[in-house]
Parts: sequence; C-alpha cells; structure tokens
Amino acid sequence: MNKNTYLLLFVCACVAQLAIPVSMIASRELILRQGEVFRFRTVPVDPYDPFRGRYVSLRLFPLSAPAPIATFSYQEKAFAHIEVDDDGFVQFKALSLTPPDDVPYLKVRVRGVAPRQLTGAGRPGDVPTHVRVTLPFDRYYMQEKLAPEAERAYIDGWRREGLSAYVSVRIRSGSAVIEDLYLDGKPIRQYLAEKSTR
Amino acid sequence: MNRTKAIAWLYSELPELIRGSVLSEEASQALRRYYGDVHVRDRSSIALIVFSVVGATFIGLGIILMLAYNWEELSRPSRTVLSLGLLLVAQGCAGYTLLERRRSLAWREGTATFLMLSIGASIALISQTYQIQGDLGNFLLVWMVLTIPTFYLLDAVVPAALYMVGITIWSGYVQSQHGHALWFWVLFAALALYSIRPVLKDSTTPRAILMAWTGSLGLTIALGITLEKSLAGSWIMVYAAYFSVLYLVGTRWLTHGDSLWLKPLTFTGAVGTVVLSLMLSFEEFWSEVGWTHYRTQEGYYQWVSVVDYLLLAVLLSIAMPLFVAACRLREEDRIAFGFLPILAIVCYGLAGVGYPTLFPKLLFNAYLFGLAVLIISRGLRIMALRVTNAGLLILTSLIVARFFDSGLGFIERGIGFILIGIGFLATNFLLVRKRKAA
Repeated sequence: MNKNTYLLLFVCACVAQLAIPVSMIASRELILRQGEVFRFRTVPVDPYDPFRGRYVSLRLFPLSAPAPIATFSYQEKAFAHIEVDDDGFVQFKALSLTPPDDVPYLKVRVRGVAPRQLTGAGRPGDVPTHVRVTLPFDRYYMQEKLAPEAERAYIDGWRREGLSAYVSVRIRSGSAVIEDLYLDGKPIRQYLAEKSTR
Repeated sequence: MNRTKAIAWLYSELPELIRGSVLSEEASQALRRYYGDVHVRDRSSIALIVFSVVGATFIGLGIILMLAYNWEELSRPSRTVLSLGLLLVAQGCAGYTLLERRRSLAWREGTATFLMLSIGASIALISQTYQIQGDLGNFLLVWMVLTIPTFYLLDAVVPAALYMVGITIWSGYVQSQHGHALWFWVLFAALALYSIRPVLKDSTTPRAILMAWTGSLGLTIALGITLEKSLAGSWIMVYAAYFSVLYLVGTRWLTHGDSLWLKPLTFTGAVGTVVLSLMLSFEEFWSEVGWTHYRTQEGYYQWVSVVDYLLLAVLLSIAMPLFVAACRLREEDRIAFGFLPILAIVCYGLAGVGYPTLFPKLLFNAYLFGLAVLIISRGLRIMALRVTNAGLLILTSLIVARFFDSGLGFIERGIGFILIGIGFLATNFLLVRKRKAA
C-alpha cells in the first residue's frame, strides 16, 4: 500500500473515531437546549465505575406505570407517558409500545409486573395492575471526592431533617439527559459548598 | 548463552583470532559458511520501543489528571472542547507518524498506544460531561472497535495486545449480564488477521512473540468466558483440542531459540494440557457431564452454542492431521500432547452414556502419569535438567492431587511428601553428575 492510501484510510479512521463522541455531544446538546424539564425523586447511593469515574447511583421513582401487563414482555422497549403530580414530580400515567402524540414520554424498558404500585401493598393473589420499568438513567457522575460526600450528606440529612432529593432531567422525544442532582432544593455542588462553610 | 548469541560472539572474535594467527582467513570463512548468517536483536531498539510506549502512556495519563484537577470548575463547552481536543492531538501525532516517521517502530508503537488510550478517555470524558448512562459493555465495545484501524494502519502490536485484553474483558462483562459474547469471535478475527503478518514474517521478533503470547494466553481465558456451554461439559473437549493445537503448531513451526519466552504456543499448550488433565483427574469434573444434561435455562442461548461445536470442529481439524503426522514420524512428545483431545472425547462419551465417573478419572490419571514419565525419560536422555524437572513437577502434582482426594492420614501424606522430595533431589543429583561426567 502506498503512502497516499495509508493516509486516506487513516483519515477515514479518524473521522469514524471522532464521529462517535461528536454524535454523543450533538444529540445530548439538542436535548439540553430544547428538551422539557422534569423532576424525578431519587435516593442516592455510591458505587464506583473504574472506567468512567465516581458517580452517585440513583434509585429513581416512579418505578412502574399502570398498564395491561399482558401487552408487554421482559426487557421490551416501551414508552412511559409522563404527568407531573401536585408536588411537581414525575408520575407515569400509562405505558405503551408506541410513542404517544399528546403527552411527553420517556423511553423505558419493561422489568416485570407489580401487584399495585410498589408501595408494599401487594399481596399474593392480587391482580397485577402495573408494569415495572427500568429508567434510562441510574447514575449521576461527579468528581471523585464529591460523590461519597454527596451520599453522606444525603443520608445524614435524611435521618436528621427528612431531606429529600431529586434529579432534574431534560427530555426530548423520549430521550433524556440529567441536568443536575438536588438535595434540599439546591444543586448538589451548591449544597455541599454551603455545608462545608457552615 | 543461546546459540544465536554464541555464534554472534564467535564472529565478533574472528578478526582478533586472525590477527593473532590463531585462525587463517580461509578457516574464518569456512566457519562463517558453516554457521551462516545470524541476526542478534539490537536490545537498544527494543528499549526505545518500550520507553516510547511507556512515555506515551504517561503523557496521556498526565494530561487526563491535569484536566481532572480543574474539571469541576470548567463549563460544559470547555469540557467538551478538551475531551475532543485530546483525541484530535492523539490523531495528529499518529498522522505525523504516518507521514514522516513510518519507518520508526518506536514512533508507531508510541503514537498508536497514545491514540488508543485517547479514544477511550475521550468517550469516557464526554459520557461524564453529558451524564450519558449506557453500560461498561457498550463503552468497551465501541472503544475496541474504534481501535482496530489504529493497530492496522500504524502496524503497532502494543495497542493490538491491549485490544485483546479489552475484548476479553468485554466478553466477560457481557456474559456476566446474562448476555452472550458471540461478537467476540468477530472482534478476535480482526486481531488474528493482523497478528498473522508479523508471526509469518519472522516469528522470532519481539513483536511476533508478543502477539503470539497475547493470542494464546488471551484465548485461553476468553474460551472459558465465551463458550456457551449449553452442552454440559463441552468445554472439556474444546479446551483439550485447543491446547493440543497450540502445542502441535508451536513445536512444528515456531521452534526457534531455546528460551521459553520464544515459544509461547508450545509453553501455553504444554502447561494448559497438564493443568487441564490435572483438573480432569478429579471425579467432580465429570459429574453431570454429557448430552443428557443439556442446558436450556434462561441465560443459555441455544443458537449461540453452535459456535462451541464449530470451534471444536475447527480445532480438531487442525489437531488431528498434525497428530497423525507426529505418529508417522514417531515424535513421542507430540504424540503424547496430540492424544489429549482423543482422550477427552472418549471420556466425554463414556460420561455421556452413563459410565461411572471413575472411568474418565482413571484414564486421565493414567494419561498424566504416562506424560510425566515420558518427559522425565526424555530429560534424562538429552541430559536437560529443565525438562526432567518439568516431568517431575507433573508427577508430583499428580501425586499431591491424589493425596488430597484419597483420604490418607497426615503420617501417610507426610511420608509421601518426603519420598517425593527425595526423588526430586536424587534425580537432579544424578543428572548433574551424569552431565559432568559426559
């Protein structure tokens, strides 16, 4: 192979290598600029992904959506219809196999069926009325030192002051990008900064 | 000192010997004609390559750490620019290498490694910046696929070796998530096609040796991960065929040099054969083996299992002709190692039709014992201490293994170990004495 052929192939390889991160950036920027903001309640914990840094693992709510369970199968892609409750947090009012036209929605995966909403009210023999779903986001990336601090801050605050946590998420055409994690109504970094100065 | 180096040393002495009238010019030429050309690797060039790769890696890591220091204070656009910038810089270095330094192995290995690490770092940094979820499996797969052009175009073996590690980890992750790693074989084929070139060109170069080690060890691990194992115990036959192929191919075509480092296939095949046989000398490994224990539970993909059978067929189609050739030439060691897959298939058949698991156990014990005796006697014959000790080690492992599952008491085991130790020492003493007398 001559030099020009090598160079041409190399340029093609570089374009492919750049295309992946650029497409990741472009799609997320579109969601962040044009997506609608929603709030999801969450309970943070703190595991570690060695390749992509420290993150706060999020146990998000809602975990299920009312739907006829026979329609869905395990791990199937579905669309959760979003409504906002009186407190301003997301609830799923329905689940469908095709995206709805009239309400905002989120792409999810089916996990299983629940007797009622996961409130612990289900008993053996109850007829399942909700489908459990897996949300497309379950972590919030933070700097190495901040993630465990965030977890400690939440647990301490929850025990002593009944602190609540939520994430703000931009959603556009079913795709989502997490904007920020909030503790006690403040962005996590602001909360930790104020806490450290007290 | 190995043979190549010894001959190179002799050549370096010839001018002095001629000047001192110890040898005539004609005798010197006769010596050169007799021993032929030798190529002694320039150790300084190897060191340069190693240092260039290490240097490139540290530069990449250092840049990432410096970025990480102020990362929290940077805005999202700044982080994006820096993440892409890192990749563009690495691509620029690789492009410069292709344009101006293509003949330099150090440049190619260094910049290719830097580029490979930058691809992964760039994707990881952007994922973190935009809170992109995804999972480790997808991240590794994308990173490894984007690495393929790097080692091909820059002809660099270090990123190729790291690629093997990456795809092995990917397959392990995917299997752990109850998926299947069928794509591993496509990814491995991309590496195999690249690796064949340096090995066929000159199998004694460090590059070829590194690829051979990476491939043989990597596949040893990856086979266990990627085999679907719906047919219970099929891994026994696949591994037996695999180690046999490694040994037979290694002893047939990659025979240069005395050092174990230069014989990756032979070494991996031999050690793998012994370890596998030792495992199969325990009855526990033969319980619930055979087609009557076919697995259909969730997590086992029947159609992916076809790859297991294809692998076995391919490996046997390589091993068996080489085994037959070894039988014709009466090459004892190659016959012994080549016999392993036949034994494995026979024992699998016995277990499958319901014979007691004692039969395969006894057969593998007999096989290991025969192998140990063969290697010891060969070592004594050619007066090679290393070979004799290897045979003794195999015999000792077999005896120790039987001690542990025979229910013998402490006194009996103690006496046994003492006798084994005496056997080791006595054999070594006799062999050393014999060599001195020769």
